[in-house]
Amino acid sequence: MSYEIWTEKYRPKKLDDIKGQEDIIKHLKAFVSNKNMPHLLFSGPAGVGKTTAALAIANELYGDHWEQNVLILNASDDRGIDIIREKVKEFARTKSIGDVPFKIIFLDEADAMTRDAQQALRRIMEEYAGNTRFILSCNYSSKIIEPIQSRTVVFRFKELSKESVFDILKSIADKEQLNISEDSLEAIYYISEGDMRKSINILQAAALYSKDITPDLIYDVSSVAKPKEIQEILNLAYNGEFNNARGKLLDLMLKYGLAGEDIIKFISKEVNSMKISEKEKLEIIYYIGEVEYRLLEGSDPLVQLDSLLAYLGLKGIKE
Amino acid sequence: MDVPWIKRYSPKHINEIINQSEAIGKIKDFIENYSNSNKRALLLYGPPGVGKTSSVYAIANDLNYEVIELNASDERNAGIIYKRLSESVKGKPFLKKGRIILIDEIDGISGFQDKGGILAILKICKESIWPVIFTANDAWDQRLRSIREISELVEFKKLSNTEIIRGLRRIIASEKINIDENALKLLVERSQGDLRSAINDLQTLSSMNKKISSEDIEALGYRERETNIFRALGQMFKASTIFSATMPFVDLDMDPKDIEPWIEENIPNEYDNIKDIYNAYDWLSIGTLFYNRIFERQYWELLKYATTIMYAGVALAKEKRYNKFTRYRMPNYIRKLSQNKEIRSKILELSKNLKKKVHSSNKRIRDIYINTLINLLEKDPEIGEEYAKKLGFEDSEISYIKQSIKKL
Repeated sequence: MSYEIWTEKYRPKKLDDIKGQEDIIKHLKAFVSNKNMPHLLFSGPAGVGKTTAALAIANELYGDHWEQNVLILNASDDRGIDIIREKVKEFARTKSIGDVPFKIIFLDEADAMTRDAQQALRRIMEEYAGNTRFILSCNYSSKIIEPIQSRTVVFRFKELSKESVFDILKSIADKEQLNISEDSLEAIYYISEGDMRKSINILQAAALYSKDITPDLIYDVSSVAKPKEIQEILNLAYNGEFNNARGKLLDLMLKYGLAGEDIIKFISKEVNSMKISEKEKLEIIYYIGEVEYRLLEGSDPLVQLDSLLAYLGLKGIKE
Repeated sequence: MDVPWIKRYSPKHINEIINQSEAIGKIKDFIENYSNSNKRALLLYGPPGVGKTSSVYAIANDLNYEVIELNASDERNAGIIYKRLSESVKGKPFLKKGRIILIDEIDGISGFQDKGGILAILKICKESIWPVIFTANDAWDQRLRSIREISELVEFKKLSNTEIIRGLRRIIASEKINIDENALKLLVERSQGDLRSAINDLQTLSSMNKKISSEDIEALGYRERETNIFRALGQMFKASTIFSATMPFVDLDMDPKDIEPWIEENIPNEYDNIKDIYNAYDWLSIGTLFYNRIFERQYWELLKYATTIMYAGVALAKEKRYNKFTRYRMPNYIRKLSQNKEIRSKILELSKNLKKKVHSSNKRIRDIYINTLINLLEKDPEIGEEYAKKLGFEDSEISYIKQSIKKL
């Protein structure tokens, strides 16, 4: 079959198959076997299993009927609480199919909602609590208002350990008959930072080229800047070659379609491998923090990156 | 100036339209079989000045139809359009055989983003007993989604240099213009496939000169706006007081947000000392930050602080004035970056199948799948296509994506 996305193909269907979140899974299984659960709040970084856990719960509770019994919403796409309210209303109007007495509403990226919208959401949750259960997911539970937190059971999903990521990738490689070396796994991990969706997607893209997966291939297919490329730019800037560094940085952004926020993250990772004193690194990291903060506040990314490169040049001047 | 040539020489008949025969065929078909058509409207799209509007008029003339046109110069929001057209879409013309409702430059309508506006337009299409035709430069504009759904899309191709020359020669002969071959070539290159702008330039030049030479074309040079911003940049960078740094931008009819990229591009061009460069960018970044706060809260009376910080901050960042001549550059990178972003979000628009499958937000889908897709297509089109199919894109979508990333 050609229409086949590995991130879906290898998404665990059962709670037991989810790796790296054993403590949480234990509790979720109890909900399933009792056919009863409270509202849930899943928090944690991207690509560690929040959506997968929600879908697995649905699958185990409802089996083949899961799609009629589950409404999936995304707070950052389904703009506005009114749209969400409409959809919930429509969905909650009918009873669940099968022997489970409630339906599930999975609301992804709930922390993208404003505080006001969250207040409204809380009322919606109460209004429809009779025949629905909400599973909210977010990156940071602190961005969810207290009243919602107190009405949900909070599960904190951990970042996946390197071992878990490697295990999952190795088992996929086995099934797809790929040869993958340890340093290729490392390369995937460096790029994806434990984000499973990213990791598996990179592996699929690489496998389109060859059954033998190498680190170079990994960097080639994953449209991210290589550490070496970033290091080169940092060194150029530090050595006073501002224009050169700026040109290279802009080329990288164009080549990989990187936003300012992305590239700042890469830069902050690479500062550590610069051959300068620890004290200087600290000062630079402090300034990068300032830059990322200004970016969040809405300043222009290019100007921010320019000022960062110039700052490096300033540090590079020796008395 | 007398009658604009673009009007005097606009095609009267189908056979006078240059190189759009495929599109013409489709439009004619649509008009003649409107009552049986399963689409309610046509959306003509393509770069400016290639004959979208002219074609509609030429076809109408040949078929003996009248055209009811609304274009961007009419005061209009979508609600007004409805009021003005709701009669025309039902009534019958007195003298002509039929009627074409032409809504020109639909992407330029104000109030089109809001729901009410779109609904008004969709209602027009539903009620109309006459064919409705839209034109737009960019059919894949996000705001045109619901228009796309009810319309058949007709592409107008960019004109080649030879075709532009063909269009110009007719006018040159009829107006008896004396222009040398090199000049004609330059003129055509300047137009970048836009016949309308080429004809406009030709008329401007011939009103000033008896004989048109290459130098005259070069004198047209940059479009007006660009010379002004270059001048303002020069004055600002050399300034040493707050007043003389902010003054140059006062008369410039540009938003600070649009001026900022020009400054961004030219700071390291004007300044050599890394200290000056750093200070200038630091001020500029604070200025843009300030601007954004004002924008978020709509406190426009605070704008003077943002602009002062931006312009005077950059000007006074230097320790001493650089006594050199600087050739200022256009902010190409910014243009490319924003174009880049735009293309990526358009591809995201197309990824409905993918979206249904992967249970994820638009941002995640763009970051992970779309970026990989573009990267693979650029490196190795065959493998990129294979990947695109796995993501659930259809062949027509893949070829659109391939075409649009060529611009990256």
